Amino acid sequence: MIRYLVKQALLSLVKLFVFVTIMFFLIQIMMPGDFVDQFSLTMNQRERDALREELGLNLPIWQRYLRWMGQILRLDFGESFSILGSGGPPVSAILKTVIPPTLLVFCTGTALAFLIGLWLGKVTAWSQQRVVSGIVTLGSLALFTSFPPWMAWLVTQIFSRQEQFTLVGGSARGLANLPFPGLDRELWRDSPISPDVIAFRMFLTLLIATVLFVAIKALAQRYLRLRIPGLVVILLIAASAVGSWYVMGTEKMSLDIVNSAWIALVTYTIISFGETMLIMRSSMTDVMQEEYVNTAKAKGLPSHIVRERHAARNALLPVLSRLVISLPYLTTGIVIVESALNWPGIGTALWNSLYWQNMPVVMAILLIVGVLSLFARLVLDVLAAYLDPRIRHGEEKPIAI
Amino acid sequence: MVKKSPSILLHVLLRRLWLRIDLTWRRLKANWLIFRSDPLAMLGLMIIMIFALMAVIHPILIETVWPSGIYDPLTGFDMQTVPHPAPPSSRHLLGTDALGRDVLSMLLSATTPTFVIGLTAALATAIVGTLLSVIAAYFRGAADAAISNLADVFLLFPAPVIMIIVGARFRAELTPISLGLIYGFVTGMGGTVIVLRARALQVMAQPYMEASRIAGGGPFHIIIKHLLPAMLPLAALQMMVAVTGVVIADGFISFFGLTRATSNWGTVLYDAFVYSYSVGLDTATMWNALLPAAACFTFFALGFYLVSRGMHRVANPWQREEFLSRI
Repeated sequence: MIRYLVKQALLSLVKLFVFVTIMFFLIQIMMPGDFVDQFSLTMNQRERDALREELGLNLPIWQRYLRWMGQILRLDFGESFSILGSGGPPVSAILKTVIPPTLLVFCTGTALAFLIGLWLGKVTAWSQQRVVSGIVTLGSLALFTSFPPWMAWLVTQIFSRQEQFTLVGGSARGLANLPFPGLDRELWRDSPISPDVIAFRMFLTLLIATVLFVAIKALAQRYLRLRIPGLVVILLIAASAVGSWYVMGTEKMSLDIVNSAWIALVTYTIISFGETMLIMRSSMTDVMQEEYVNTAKAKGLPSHIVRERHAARNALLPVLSRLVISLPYLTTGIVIVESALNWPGIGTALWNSLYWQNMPVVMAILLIVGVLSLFARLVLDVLAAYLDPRIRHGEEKPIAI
Repeated sequence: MVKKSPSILLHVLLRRLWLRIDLTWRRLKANWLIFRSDPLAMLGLMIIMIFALMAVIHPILIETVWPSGIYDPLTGFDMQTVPHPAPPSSRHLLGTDALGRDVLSMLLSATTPTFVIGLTAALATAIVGTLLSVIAAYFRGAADAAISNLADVFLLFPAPVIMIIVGARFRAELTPISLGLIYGFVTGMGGTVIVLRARALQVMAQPYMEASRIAGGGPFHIIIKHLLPAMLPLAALQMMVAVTGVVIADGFISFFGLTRATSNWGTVLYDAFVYSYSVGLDTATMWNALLPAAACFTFFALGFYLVSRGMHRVANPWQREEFLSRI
């Protein structure tokens, strides 16, 4: 297992390298003009040439690539471009402010969408009421195939939060450091901590609580033969996350961030749970034909126990490996939803810096996205191997379609 | 040894041809029976047919009923209806947008490019994905390793972002076909290869593959005769999924204002958003520009997705056997 992991991690590094290289050349060759060209109204030719020289944009592209690669290998993201030359804010500082909001909203959103999707898929596949399950399927499908900016707009309209919706094309702002939408100004004026730090703490506590309670659930099941219902675990996680804000003494600020974040969270969850549901549904339909499900039913086990322990557990495996494939589409979803809702995360920063061709920021964000996707993939691989003994013995993974 | 006369040869050939047609027909009929038994898939087919009707009807309407000065999807303007945007009326069934264009006409005219982009992306995805996955699964070894690792890399590329980058350069010259090709290649090299390769490996493990190899079948014969036919249903399924993806992605980049040359559902939405953003939301915009265009997106993608779910049942050999034994 460890050998496999090391091998996969090394391969991932190579993949990451290829991905970043292709993106570097693709963006710089394909996008018209460069960072300096947009100041052609305010600067004359000489000033622009000087700025280009200072930013290193006058070099041929392969030299720029080597310079950038050298920086990255030293784990230095460099400085973002600015009109004054290379004295812009360091990219790592920008990353530090844009990553926590994304983690907070999109990890929570993905987890929620996954849970809702699994549950709905399981229930609709198992249910004998064709009409109800058909309607539920159709509804989730319609949400899944709806146009994301429009869905974001609809959510802001329904909850009358119009001020949070922005026009994507029209609102590209200079740099990544957007404020959180809809925060209480009074509260944050003399606070020593900035919102992104609070967001990061919130994400961390949520993560720790999740790992803790899922581990407790697994251990209790294994050693005490005690089954804790999933809903109870979720409630415990939520309660302990909220409790930790009070322990840290940042409850007012955290609640304010929640107040600002839940629109994005709801939008993202609504758009993305349909896919998991459909995959789970078809996987579950396949599993339900299996003999062991019939055997379990014939033994006289109650229907919900057959569903949970015999059918759903086996249906989950192909779903996990299918999710690996749809994981990178997350990037797209993040860009669309964040830029439509003005959420100050990775997606907005990527779009804004792409718009201004602020290459150090664009490449750093793509790198981070690549690392996160590949890491999540590795985690899912390990999880699949843990859940499915067949994979541990070197068979190919089953993929749900 | 009997010498065959030309007429007998012809007879045998015709007989063979007939057998082949008969077999294909029966398989199609069985597929159709399975497909028909799924009401949701039939609903999807109906939605697609309605959109096809919309695509066909627009040029006819422009030629006959609608004077193109008023109803042209890009430049039309109605002097008699003021102010614009106007709510639905008998002249404009879905009202007009902020520039005085008929919304229904815009929606109808955007249907053909959407079909074109969807079809291109679907074909590109299926061809690239099937080709690579068949090669990977048949030859294994180095080819397999190269292809599946390449697929992992391509999986990282966000297709709409790439379409935006390319769209920023070409703007007006960008046709639906080229956009569809970009999307098709990126997804075809990425996710589609991974899904199709998994199926191809399953097929390669079947006993009849071994039998064919022992009987002396070369790679070309085995791939064409045995591997490809088993992969086609799943490739068709992937095509449908690609249509769903590309329609959303195309709308997204039109929504960014990058392909303004052609009218498009994303453009309709974008214009409506611009208007409501600067003027404020009134019922006319709400009704005539936001809802229909968004509904078009959802239903178009939904139609193809539903058909793909129906195809899933056709493609899945296990469920297929089960179904055919029941009827």
